[in-house]
Amino acid sequence: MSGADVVVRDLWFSYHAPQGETPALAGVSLRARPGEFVGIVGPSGCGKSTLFAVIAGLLRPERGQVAVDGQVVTGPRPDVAYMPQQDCLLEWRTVLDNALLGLEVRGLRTRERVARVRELLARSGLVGFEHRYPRQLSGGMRQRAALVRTLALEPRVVLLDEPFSAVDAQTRLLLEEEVGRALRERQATVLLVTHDIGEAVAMCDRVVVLSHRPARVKREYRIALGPAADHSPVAARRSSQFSEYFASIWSDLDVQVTHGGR
Amino acid sequence: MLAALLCAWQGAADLGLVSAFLTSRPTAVAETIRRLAAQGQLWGNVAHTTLGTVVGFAAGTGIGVAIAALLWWSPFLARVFEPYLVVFNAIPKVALGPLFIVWLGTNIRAVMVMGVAITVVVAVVVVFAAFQQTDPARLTLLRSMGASRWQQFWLVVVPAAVPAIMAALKANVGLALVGAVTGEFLAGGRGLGYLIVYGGQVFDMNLVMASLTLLVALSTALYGAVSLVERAVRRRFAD
Repeated sequence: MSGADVVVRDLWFSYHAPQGETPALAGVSLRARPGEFVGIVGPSGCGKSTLFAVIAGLLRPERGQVAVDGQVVTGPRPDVAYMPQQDCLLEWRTVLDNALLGLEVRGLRTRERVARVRELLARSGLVGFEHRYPRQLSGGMRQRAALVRTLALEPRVVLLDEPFSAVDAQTRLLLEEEVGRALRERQATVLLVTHDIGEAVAMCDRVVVLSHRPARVKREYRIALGPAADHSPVAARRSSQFSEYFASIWSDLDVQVTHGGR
Repeated sequence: MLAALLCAWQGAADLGLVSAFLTSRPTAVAETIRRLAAQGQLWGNVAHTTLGTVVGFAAGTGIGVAIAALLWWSPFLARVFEPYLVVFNAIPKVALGPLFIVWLGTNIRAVMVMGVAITVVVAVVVVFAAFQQTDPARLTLLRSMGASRWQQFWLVVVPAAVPAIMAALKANVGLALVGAVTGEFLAGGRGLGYLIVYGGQVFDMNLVMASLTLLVALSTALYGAVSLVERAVRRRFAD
């Protein structure tokens, strides 16, 4: 299993309401090569979530298209997994049953796959918690369970939608490292939407900066932090290039004082 | 508390502070219940009311949940029917009673339909509201996994609405009893509701009070049963 090639070509999308239409995407193009981590940052409300919904096949763009390995996306695909902002664990299901949700929906729940998901849970430090309920887990553990749920379908593309915004700062660093490692091991192609510039720079090979709504691609950065800092969020934040990228992206975002990022 | 109240009631009636003719007294109530049992009139009437209530409750709540599901399924239907729902909710369902009697006759079917009419709207409104409040992020997650609307409904929407469904059950068990008793008021012939009306007409307050006592016992038992179900379900679907 290896990552897929994701090509986003000239996407346009508007929301229609009786009061008029709100343009959300105005010709967004970007590409994530197999196994590449691409961060997408933009001002709040710029249309990042819309972009993700289109890539996940949940929204049909008005113009343009998304292609995964050359195939145009027309609906949700089993090899594209989406990890939402909240962990979205279902509190009436055990951790194991939550992790198996995607397989169940796709009708792929077999004994071998259940065994593999159990192993994934074990490797994520959830040994002994398989039959617990989400409310008995800490925030970090819940997020790990959500990651296992994401990986259970062996996705070739993973869409991370601000996946660490609900946990505290230390857990966040830890999860960035763990999730990054897990996904790199699988050579998955990763698109990470975040408003945390540091997170994008530390985890990704490339960062795409979007403009204010309606979103266009404002600028792209290829991130090179040197071999020592590669893909370790903590080491990355120590490198001198890190703060240069950070400052540059910050000025691209053109954030108003009233809603500063972190 | 209950014992003190009963003693006060008995004492006041015995001492002539209140007229025993108007208020009856606990010993007379107990005696009347015994007499009803001896005459073979107790269980038949209790069973009549119980059957009317349980069927009205089960059918009303079941139909209500089914309609709520249909409205969730089709936003178009929901838009069309919401105004009617509001109006039907505002009608005092008791006022429909004579209609049911004419349509169905003075029998237990009219009593049951009364229970259905009174419970169905509450179930629709409460459960539909709960369905609509399903966390959109969860639905998005399910859709990204390729889940059909059917799967979204059973995997997320229904389990998340279980607490609301339980609340509707609790409210409806009381309402169904109101429906059954009102139905018996109108239909006559059998049931605790009929005994109350009959007792009132012949100024037999012992009979009225005895029937009320039986009603209280019945509603307590039904409410207890629903609470048991709720506790069992809560354990499984707790937040």
